[in-house]
Amino acid sequence: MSILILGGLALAFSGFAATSITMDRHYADIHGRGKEASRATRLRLRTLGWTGLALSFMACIGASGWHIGPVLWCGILSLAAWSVTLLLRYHPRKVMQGAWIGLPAALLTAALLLR
Amino acid sequence: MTSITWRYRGGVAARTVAAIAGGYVLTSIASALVAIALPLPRADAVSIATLLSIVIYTCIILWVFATASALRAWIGVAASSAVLGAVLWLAGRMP
Amino acid sequence: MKEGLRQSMAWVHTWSGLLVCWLLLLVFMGGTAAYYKHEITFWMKPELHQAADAPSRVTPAESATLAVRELQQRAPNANAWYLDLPHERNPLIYASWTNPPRKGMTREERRAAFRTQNFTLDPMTGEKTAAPRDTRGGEFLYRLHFDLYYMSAIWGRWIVGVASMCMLVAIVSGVITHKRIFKDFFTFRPKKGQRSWLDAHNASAVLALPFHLMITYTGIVTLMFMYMPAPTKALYGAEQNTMFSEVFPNAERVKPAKEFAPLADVAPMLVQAERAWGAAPSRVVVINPNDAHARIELHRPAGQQLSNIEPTMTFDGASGALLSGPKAMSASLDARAAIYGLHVAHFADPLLRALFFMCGLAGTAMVATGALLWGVKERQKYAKVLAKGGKVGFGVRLVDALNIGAIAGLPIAFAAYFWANRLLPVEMAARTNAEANVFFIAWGLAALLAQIRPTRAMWRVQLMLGAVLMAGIPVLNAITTDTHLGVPLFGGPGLRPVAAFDLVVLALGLLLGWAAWWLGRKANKQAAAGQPANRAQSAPLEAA
Repeated sequence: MSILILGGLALAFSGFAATSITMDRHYADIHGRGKEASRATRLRLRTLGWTGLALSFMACIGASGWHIGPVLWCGILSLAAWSVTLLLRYHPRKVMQGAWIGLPAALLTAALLLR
Repeated sequence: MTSITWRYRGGVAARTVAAIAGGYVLTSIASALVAIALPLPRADAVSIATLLSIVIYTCIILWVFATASALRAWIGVAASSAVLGAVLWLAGRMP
Repeated sequence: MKEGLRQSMAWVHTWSGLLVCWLLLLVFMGGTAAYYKHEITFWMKPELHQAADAPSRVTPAESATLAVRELQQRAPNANAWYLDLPHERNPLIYASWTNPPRKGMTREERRAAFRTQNFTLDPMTGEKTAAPRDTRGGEFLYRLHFDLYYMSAIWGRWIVGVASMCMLVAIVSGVITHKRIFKDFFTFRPKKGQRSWLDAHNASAVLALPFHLMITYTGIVTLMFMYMPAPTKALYGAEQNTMFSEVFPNAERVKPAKEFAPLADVAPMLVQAERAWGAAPSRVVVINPNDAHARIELHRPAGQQLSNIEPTMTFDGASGALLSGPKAMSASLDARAAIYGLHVAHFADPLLRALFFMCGLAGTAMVATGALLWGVKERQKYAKVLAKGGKVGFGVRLVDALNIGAIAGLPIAFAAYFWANRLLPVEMAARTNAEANVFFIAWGLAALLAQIRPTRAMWRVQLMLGAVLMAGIPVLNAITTDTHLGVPLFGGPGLRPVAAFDLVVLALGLLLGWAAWWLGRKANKQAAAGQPANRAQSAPLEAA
């Protein structure tokens, strides 16, 4: 069950990372002042981001059930959000790199949930 | 920014009393009415009504400070209390 | 008008928050610590550590039998026995009992008597452990955060209730007034003065908003029937006890028959319960032991549901037969119990409990940064006055002093409480009162000194003192007991709570030390830039 929770945490981190990049301020943090994400990029990243958050929710439900799962998810979200916030300030490039963890996490979570 | 005149201070004080004291009275009346009105067993009704009362009280406090004037705040709280209080009194006299 | 709404909500947010923030810091710190009250109590009773070290291979049925045998000797005529069976948060057997109150006993006398009516057994030997020192442990911190202290519990609960209502209003008004709640979601810009404090306040508040809303609302719910009796009066009139027995249908106790009947063997009951639940019972409550109307209640361990009311299996104490299960509760009553349960989080496993603890710390940070932000903002209005060598107004000075006393002073108090536990003589009378007094004396001194000199230097001194006291606890532990930090690494899992406690206070101490260092660094930068650094009214927390 802990692996599922870790997967959920990774998905939440990835989801927040992806959505944060679509914001002008943070896109500029990573790519340079004044740069903005294109509309296509924004749409793609936001879709991926929200999907990551939704999968993170499923992972928490899978780990702890429908009663305690949502509570766990809220805690995971906070942890992930703080991580992304600090990373955006001190290592903004790593946010883009870190967002990729969502893909293996999604596969792992799907595998564990469908078992 | 409003200057700190006595009129301003009076308005703040009036709203504060309306929110805290008036709000508590209004919340009590409203949640008592909710409890009576809910078509549930007593224990269920009293639980839900009391759970809701916290939300009601919060909303009243925020409204008192958001509304346009301290006078409006007082009229709102007093009038609602009077109307709902009358309904509560009538409900208490019904078989 | 939208602009008007934001402004009015900003005003409400500021004042509903500021007026109670220092009390809320106490409530948050005590409540956050309370999530680990069992572990804290265990750390504060080092006499029990040796017994807990050996891994327990005793079944719950055997543990219960051991405890019952001892209880039959010590309290055969009690009106209730309470057995806490070994589990991962506490590897020893803890038993207590209540006697029917003697006529003329005051509440204080009853409480004092109750504190002697317990024992701890080592499940491996079946023997009583060494008598632990008289301490309320983590229970003191837990009670502190809603009963307060030095006053009747009712007064304390009303005061905390009012503060909690202010907090709820502050949270909601804060969300309404926060213009850029989505744009600023991940924003943190340190070293920018007021902006940075606002970012810190936002980060600790918004990024754990579900927790803060939940903990505040559910906190009020725990005592809601006391705070808002109107619906009860409307439906039950003056019969408040009837309301309680209907809303809490399984709390009713059957009255004793006053005729003797030997207590049935509990072991088979535990086996049966474990088979039904797939998990061993965590708690056994025996009502009217050795009476014809005896009942034996087995409680399922928490963790399956939000409600704090644990499912039970009740057996007839004389015959041993399983009685009908607990009365099923309606959805509404279940909802109330779940909301209550969210606050106390009995269901939380170690990971989730750590998340609750983390969010509690974030709540403390939220309140602290809010109070500091107010001070920084107000101080700016005095910039010209200060530049001419004048003084800040009464309000700013008072808030500065209260901030130091609460944000830096409270950690000193908590640390002093733990130091007192190790240093106060074990045999002293009224030891629990003494430990509590140390907490408040330490806090009082910190707050008093802060009022006399609310300067940056005072911040650094108190933060440093807190750091040394906190980080020094593991050292103190090593000197005064045998369970220093290294032991759990080589010993059994039973001592992990002790190691965890040592590590957490060490981390908190390091955090406080870093804060003291950071303040000092800023002072040096300001001095180098030619600005006045340590004048009596210097700005404690402007950015470099």
